[in-house]
Amino acid sequence: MTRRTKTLSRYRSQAGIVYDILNTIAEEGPTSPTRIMYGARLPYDRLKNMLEHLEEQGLVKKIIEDDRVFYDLTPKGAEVLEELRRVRRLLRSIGIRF
Amino acid sequence: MDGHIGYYAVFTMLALLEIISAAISLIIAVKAMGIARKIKDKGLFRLGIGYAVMCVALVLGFAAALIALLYPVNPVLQLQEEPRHMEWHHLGGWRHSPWPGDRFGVSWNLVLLASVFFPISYAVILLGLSGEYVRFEQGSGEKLPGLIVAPGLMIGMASDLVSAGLLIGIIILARKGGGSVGPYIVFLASHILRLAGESVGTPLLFLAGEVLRPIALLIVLARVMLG
Repeated sequence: MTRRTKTLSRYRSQAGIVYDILNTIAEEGPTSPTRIMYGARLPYDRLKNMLEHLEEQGLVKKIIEDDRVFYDLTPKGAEVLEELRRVRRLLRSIGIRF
Repeated sequence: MDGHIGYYAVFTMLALLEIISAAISLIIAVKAMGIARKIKDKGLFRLGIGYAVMCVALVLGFAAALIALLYPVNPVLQLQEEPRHMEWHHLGGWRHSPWPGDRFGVSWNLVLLASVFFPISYAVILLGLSGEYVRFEQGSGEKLPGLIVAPGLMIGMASDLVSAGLLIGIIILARKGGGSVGPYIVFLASHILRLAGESVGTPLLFLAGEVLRPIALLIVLARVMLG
Protein backbone atom coordinates (compact mmCIF):
# COMPACT_ATOMS: atom_id res chain seq x y z
CA MET A 1 0.00 0.00 0.00
CA THR A 2 2.83 2.33 0.91
CA ARG A 3 4.61 1.49 -2.33
CA ARG A 4 1.50 2.18 -4.44
CA THR A 5 0.88 5.54 -2.80
CA LYS A 6 4.50 6.49 -3.43
CA THR A 7 4.29 5.41 -7.08
CA LEU A 8 1.08 7.36 -7.72
CA SER A 9 2.43 10.54 -6.17
CA ARG A 10 5.54 10.32 -8.35
CA TYR A 11 3.55 10.07 -11.55
CA ARG A 12 0.80 12.64 -11.71
CA SER A 13 -0.63 13.97 -14.93
CA GLN A 14 -0.42 17.66 -15.81
CA ALA A 15 -4.15 17.73 -16.59
CA GLY A 16 -4.87 16.10 -13.22
CA ILE A 17 -2.77 18.70 -11.40
CA VAL A 18 -4.54 21.55 -13.22
CA TYR A 19 -7.88 19.95 -12.33
CA ASP A 20 -6.93 19.65 -8.63
CA ILE A 21 -5.78 23.28 -8.45
CA LEU A 22 -8.88 24.68 -10.20
CA ASN A 23 -11.17 22.40 -8.20
CA THR A 24 -9.64 23.48 -4.87
CA ILE A 25 -10.06 27.15 -5.76
CA ALA A 26 -13.65 26.52 -6.94
CA GLU A 27 -14.54 24.78 -3.68
CA GLU A 28 -12.84 27.29 -1.38
CA GLY A 29 -13.45 30.57 -3.20
CA PRO A 30 -10.53 33.06 -3.19
CA THR A 31 -7.83 30.84 -1.71
CA SER A 32 -4.33 31.25 -0.32
CA PRO A 33 -1.49 29.32 -2.01
CA THR A 34 -1.07 27.28 1.18
CA ARG A 35 -4.68 26.00 1.00
CA ILE A 36 -4.24 25.21 -2.70
CA MET A 37 -0.98 23.42 -1.92
CA TYR A 38 -2.82 21.05 0.45
CA GLY A 39 -5.87 20.71 -1.80
CA ALA A 40 -3.81 19.92 -4.89
CA ARG A 41 -1.20 17.91 -2.97
CA LEU A 42 1.71 19.81 -4.51
CA PRO A 43 5.03 21.07 -3.14
CA TYR A 44 5.13 24.88 -2.93
CA ASP A 45 7.73 25.48 -5.69
CA ARG A 46 5.80 23.39 -8.17
CA LEU A 47 2.50 24.99 -7.19
CA LYS A 48 4.03 28.46 -7.65
CA ASN A 49 5.07 27.57 -11.22
CA MET A 50 1.66 26.06 -11.97
CA LEU A 51 -0.19 29.10 -10.61
CA GLU A 52 1.97 31.42 -12.72
CA HIS A 53 1.24 29.26 -15.75
CA LEU A 54 -2.52 29.25 -15.04
CA GLU A 55 -2.50 33.00 -14.47
CA GLU A 56 -0.79 33.50 -17.85
CA GLN A 57 -3.51 31.38 -19.48
CA GLY A 58 -6.17 33.52 -17.81
CA LEU A 59 -7.60 30.62 -15.80
CA VAL A 60 -6.89 32.09 -12.34
CA LYS A 61 -6.37 35.63 -11.08
CA LYS A 62 -4.12 36.82 -8.30
CA ILE A 63 -5.72 39.01 -5.61
CA ILE A 64 -3.56 40.91 -3.14
CA GLU A 65 -5.27 42.11 0.06
CA ASP A 66 -3.36 43.54 3.01
CA ASP A 67 -0.12 41.98 1.75
CA ARG A 68 -1.81 38.61 1.56
CA VAL A 69 -2.05 36.72 -1.73
CA PHE A 70 -5.18 34.85 -2.84
CA TYR A 71 -6.10 33.11 -6.05
CA ASP A 72 -9.57 33.02 -7.57
CA LEU A 73 -11.04 31.41 -10.68
CA THR A 74 -11.69 33.57 -13.73
CA PRO A 75 -14.82 32.84 -15.85
CA LYS A 76 -12.48 31.10 -18.32
CA GLY A 77 -11.01 29.01 -15.46
CA ALA A 78 -14.51 27.99 -14.32
CA GLU A 79 -15.36 27.02 -17.88
CA VAL A 80 -12.18 24.92 -18.20
CA LEU A 81 -12.85 23.23 -14.84
CA GLU A 82 -16.36 22.31 -16.02
CA GLU A 83 -14.91 20.89 -19.23
CA LEU A 84 -12.29 18.93 -17.30
CA ARG A 85 -15.07 17.46 -15.15
CA ARG A 86 -16.92 16.41 -18.29
CA VAL A 87 -13.90 14.72 -19.95
CA ARG A 88 -12.51 13.21 -16.75
CA ARG A 89 -13.84 9.73 -17.40
CA LEU A 90 -12.72 9.80 -21.00
CA LEU A 91 -9.19 10.89 -20.09
CA ARG A 92 -9.03 8.27 -17.35
CA SER A 93 -9.97 5.60 -19.90
CA ILE A 94 -7.04 6.52 -22.13
CA GLY A 95 -4.44 6.42 -19.38
CA ILE A 96 -4.50 9.93 -17.92
CA ARG A 97 -4.93 9.81 -14.18
CA PHE A 98 -6.99 12.42 -12.39
CA MET B 1 -15.29 -17.37 -49.66
CA ASP B 2 -16.73 -15.60 -52.72
CA GLY B 3 -20.47 -15.36 -52.21
CA HIS B 4 -20.19 -17.18 -48.90
CA ILE B 5 -22.29 -15.71 -46.10
CA GLY B 6 -19.34 -15.95 -43.67
CA TYR B 7 -17.23 -13.72 -45.91
CA TYR B 8 -19.88 -11.00 -45.93
CA ALA B 9 -20.61 -11.39 -42.20
CA VAL B 10 -16.93 -11.01 -41.24
CA PHE B 11 -16.27 -7.99 -43.42
CA THR B 12 -19.56 -6.30 -42.52
CA MET B 13 -18.73 -6.69 -38.83
CA LEU B 14 -15.18 -5.49 -39.41
CA ALA B 15 -16.30 -2.46 -41.42
CA LEU B 16 -18.82 -1.50 -38.73
CA LEU B 17 -16.33 -1.92 -35.89
CA GLU B 18 -13.67 0.06 -37.75
CA ILE B 19 -15.95 3.02 -38.51
CA ILE B 20 -17.44 3.09 -34.99
CA SER B 21 -14.00 2.99 -33.41
CA ALA B 22 -12.75 5.64 -35.88
CA ALA B 23 -15.56 7.88 -34.62
CA ILE B 24 -14.61 7.14 -30.97
CA SER B 25 -10.94 7.91 -31.59
CA LEU B 26 -11.91 11.13 -33.36
CA ILE B 27 -14.02 12.16 -30.35
CA ILE B 28 -11.09 11.37 -28.01
CA ALA B 29 -8.74 13.39 -30.24
CA VAL B 30 -11.06 16.41 -30.41
CA LYS B 31 -11.79 16.40 -26.66
CA ALA B 32 -8.15 15.88 -25.63
CA MET B 33 -6.81 18.53 -28.01
CA GLY B 34 -9.59 20.95 -27.07
CA ILE B 35 -8.86 20.80 -23.34
CA ALA B 36 -5.09 20.69 -23.94
CA ARG B 37 -5.27 23.90 -25.97
CA LYS B 38 -7.09 25.65 -23.13
CA ILE B 39 -4.69 24.60 -20.39
CA LYS B 40 -1.61 24.68 -22.68
CA ASP B 41 -0.81 21.04 -21.99
CA LYS B 42 1.58 19.77 -24.67
CA GLY B 43 1.49 16.17 -23.45
CA LEU B 44 -2.29 15.97 -23.65
CA PHE B 45 -2.23 17.69 -27.05
CA ARG B 46 0.20 15.07 -28.40
CA LEU B 47 -2.01 12.34 -26.97
CA GLY B 48 -4.91 13.85 -28.94
CA ILE B 49 -2.83 13.90 -32.12
CA GLY B 50 -2.02 10.22 -31.52
CA TYR B 51 -5.72 9.40 -31.45
CA ALA B 52 -6.28 11.51 -34.58
CA VAL B 53 -3.63 9.42 -36.37
CA MET B 54 -5.33 6.29 -35.03
CA CYS B 55 -8.59 7.58 -36.50
CA VAL B 56 -6.92 7.80 -39.94
CA ALA B 57 -5.66 4.21 -39.54
CA LEU B 58 -9.14 3.00 -38.58
CA VAL B 59 -10.73 4.80 -41.54
CA LEU B 60 -8.19 3.04 -43.80
CA GLY B 61 -9.18 -0.27 -42.18
CA PHE B 62 -12.82 0.58 -42.78
CA ALA B 63 -12.09 1.35 -46.45
CA ALA B 64 -10.26 -2.00 -46.79
CA ALA B 65 -13.19 -3.93 -45.28
CA LEU B 66 -15.63 -2.00 -47.48
CA ILE B 67 -13.65 -2.80 -50.64
CA ALA B 68 -13.52 -6.46 -49.60
CA LEU B 69 -17.30 -6.36 -49.25
CA LEU B 70 -17.94 -4.58 -52.53
CA TYR B 71 -15.46 -6.62 -54.57
CA PRO B 72 -15.54 -10.12 -53.06
CA VAL B 73 -12.85 -12.61 -54.09
CA ASN B 74 -12.25 -16.29 -53.55
CA PRO B 75 -9.06 -16.29 -51.45
CA VAL B 76 -8.25 -19.97 -52.06
CA LEU B 77 -8.60 -19.60 -55.81
CA GLN B 78 -6.59 -16.42 -55.71
CA LEU B 79 -3.69 -18.15 -53.98
CA GLN B 80 -3.60 -20.83 -56.66
CA GLU B 81 -3.60 -18.16 -59.35
CA GLU B 82 -0.66 -16.29 -57.79
CA PRO B 83 2.01 -16.79 -60.52
CA ARG B 84 5.07 -17.29 -58.31
CA HIS B 85 3.27 -19.03 -55.46
CA MET B 86 4.59 -22.57 -56.01
CA GLU B 87 8.00 -21.27 -57.10
CA TRP B 88 8.38 -19.44 -53.80
CA HIS B 89 7.34 -22.58 -51.94
CA HIS B 90 10.17 -24.47 -53.62
CA LEU B 91 12.61 -21.70 -52.74
CA GLY B 92 12.08 -22.24 -49.06
CA GLY B 93 8.69 -21.05 -47.95
CA TRP B 94 6.01 -18.52 -48.69
CA ARG B 95 4.31 -16.56 -45.98
CA HIS B 96 0.79 -16.18 -47.28
CA SER B 97 -0.93 -12.84 -47.10
CA PRO B 98 -3.43 -13.38 -44.29
CA TRP B 99 -5.95 -10.90 -45.69
CA PRO B 100 -8.77 -12.92 -47.25
CA GLY B 101 -10.42 -9.85 -48.83
CA ASP B 102 -8.03 -9.59 -51.75
CA ARG B 103 -4.63 -11.04 -50.86
CA PHE B 104 -2.64 -8.82 -53.22
CA GLY B 105 -5.07 -6.05 -54.16
CA VAL B 106 -6.08 -2.55 -53.05
CA SER B 107 -7.73 -3.66 -49.81
CA TRP B 108 -4.57 -5.52 -48.68
CA ASN B 109 -2.49 -2.42 -49.45
CA LEU B 110 -4.91 -0.34 -47.38
CA VAL B 111 -4.57 -2.81 -44.49
CA LEU B 112 -0.77 -2.47 -44.77
CA LEU B 113 -1.00 1.32 -44.86
CA ALA B 114 -3.20 1.25 -41.76
CA SER B 115 -0.62 -1.05 -40.14
CA VAL B 116 1.99 1.68 -40.56
CA PHE B 117 -0.29 4.36 -39.11
CA PHE B 118 -0.95 2.38 -35.92
CA PRO B 119 2.63 2.34 -34.57
CA ILE B 120 2.90 6.03 -35.48
CA SER B 121 -0.22 6.74 -33.42
CA TYR B 122 1.10 4.66 -30.50
CA ALA B 123 4.44 6.49 -30.70
CA VAL B 124 2.67 9.87 -30.53
CA ILE B 125 0.47 8.63 -27.65
CA LEU B 126 3.60 7.44 -25.84
CA LEU B 127 5.21 10.85 -26.43
CA GLY B 128 2.06 12.49 -25.11
CA LEU B 129 2.00 10.35 -21.98
CA SER B 130 5.69 11.00 -21.42
CA GLY B 131 4.86 14.72 -21.45
CA GLU B 132 1.94 14.19 -19.11
CA TYR B 133 3.79 12.08 -16.58
CA VAL B 134 7.20 12.82 -15.18
CA ARG B 135 8.89 9.57 -16.18
CA PHE B 136 8.31 6.84 -18.71
CA GLU B 137 9.86 3.62 -19.92
CA GLN B 138 9.85 2.36 -23.48
CA GLY B 139 9.10 -1.26 -24.40
CA SER B 140 11.79 -3.34 -26.05
CA GLY B 141 11.66 -4.28 -29.72
CA GLU B 142 12.30 -7.66 -31.25
CA LYS B 143 14.27 -8.84 -34.27
CA LEU B 144 12.32 -9.44 -37.45
CA PRO B 145 12.31 -12.94 -38.84
CA GLY B 146 14.30 -13.40 -42.05
CA LEU B 147 11.76 -15.28 -44.14
CA ILE B 148 10.36 -15.14 -47.64
CA VAL B 149 7.08 -13.34 -47.23
CA ALA B 150 4.07 -12.28 -49.25
CA PRO B 151 4.31 -8.80 -50.81
CA GLY B 152 4.03 -6.13 -48.16
CA LEU B 153 3.77 -8.62 -45.32
CA MET B 154 7.06 -7.45 -43.82
CA ILE B 155 5.50 -3.98 -43.44
CA GLY B 156 2.55 -5.48 -41.58
CA MET B 157 4.76 -7.65 -39.35
CA ALA B 158 7.23 -4.85 -38.61
CA SER B 159 4.38 -2.47 -37.83
CA ASP B 160 2.82 -4.98 -35.45
CA LEU B 161 6.14 -5.60 -33.72
CA VAL B 162 6.80 -1.89 -33.31
CA SER B 163 3.19 -1.39 -32.18
CA ALA B 164 3.55 -4.12 -29.57
CA GLY B 165 6.77 -2.55 -28.28
CA LEU B 166 5.24 0.91 -28.10
CA LEU B 167 2.11 -0.44 -26.42
CA ILE B 168 4.20 -2.12 -23.75
CA GLY B 169 5.77 1.31 -23.17
CA ILE B 170 2.32 2.94 -22.97
CA ILE B 171 1.03 0.27 -20.57
CA ILE B 172 4.06 0.66 -18.28
CA LEU B 173 3.77 4.44 -18.29
CA ALA B 174 -0.01 4.60 -17.83
CA ARG B 175 0.21 1.96 -15.09
CA LYS B 176 2.90 3.94 -13.25
CA GLY B 177 0.75 7.04 -13.54
CA GLY B 178 -2.17 5.09 -12.12
CA GLY B 179 -4.21 5.51 -15.34
CA SER B 180 -6.40 2.89 -16.96
CA VAL B 181 -4.55 0.38 -19.17
CA GLY B 182 -7.47 -1.88 -20.24
CA PRO B 183 -7.86 -0.56 -23.82
CA TYR B 184 -4.09 -0.66 -24.39
CA ILE B 185 -3.94 -4.32 -23.28
CA VAL B 186 -6.65 -5.11 -25.86
CA PHE B 187 -4.66 -3.20 -28.50
CA LEU B 188 -1.58 -5.25 -27.56
CA ALA B 189 -3.52 -8.53 -27.78
CA SER B 190 -4.80 -7.42 -31.19
CA HIS B 191 -1.28 -6.83 -32.54
CA ILE B 192 -0.04 -10.14 -31.11
CA LEU B 193 -2.93 -11.94 -32.85
CA ARG B 194 -2.24 -10.10 -36.10
CA LEU B 195 1.43 -10.99 -35.83
CA ALA B 196 0.54 -14.64 -35.23
CA GLY B 197 -1.77 -14.51 -38.26
CA GLU B 198 0.96 -12.94 -40.40
CA SER B 199 3.59 -15.40 -39.18
CA VAL B 200 1.65 -18.51 -40.10
CA GLY B 201 -0.50 -16.97 -42.85
CA THR B 202 -3.72 -17.73 -41.01
CA PRO B 203 -6.63 -15.45 -41.93
CA LEU B 204 -8.59 -16.44 -38.80
CA LEU B 205 -5.95 -15.15 -36.38
CA PHE B 206 -5.32 -12.05 -38.46
CA LEU B 207 -9.03 -11.19 -38.65
CA ALA B 208 -9.41 -11.85 -34.92
CA GLY B 209 -6.65 -9.27 -34.36
CA GLU B 210 -8.34 -6.83 -36.75
CA VAL B 211 -11.68 -7.24 -34.92
CA LEU B 212 -10.11 -6.95 -31.47
CA ARG B 213 -8.47 -3.57 -32.17
CA PRO B 214 -11.67 -1.56 -32.63
CA ILE B 215 -13.08 -3.34 -29.58
CA ALA B 216 -10.39 -1.58 -27.50
CA LEU B 217 -11.98 1.74 -28.41
CA LEU B 218 -15.44 0.37 -27.70
CA ILE B 219 -14.18 -0.40 -24.18
CA VAL B 220 -13.26 3.29 -23.79
CA LEU B 221 -16.78 4.23 -24.92
CA ALA B 222 -18.38 1.72 -22.53
CA ARG B 223 -16.28 3.01 -19.61
CA VAL B 224 -17.22 6.60 -20.33
CA MET B 225 -20.90 5.73 -20.62
CA LEU B 226 -21.11 3.32 -17.69
CA GLY B 227 -18.70 5.13 -15.40
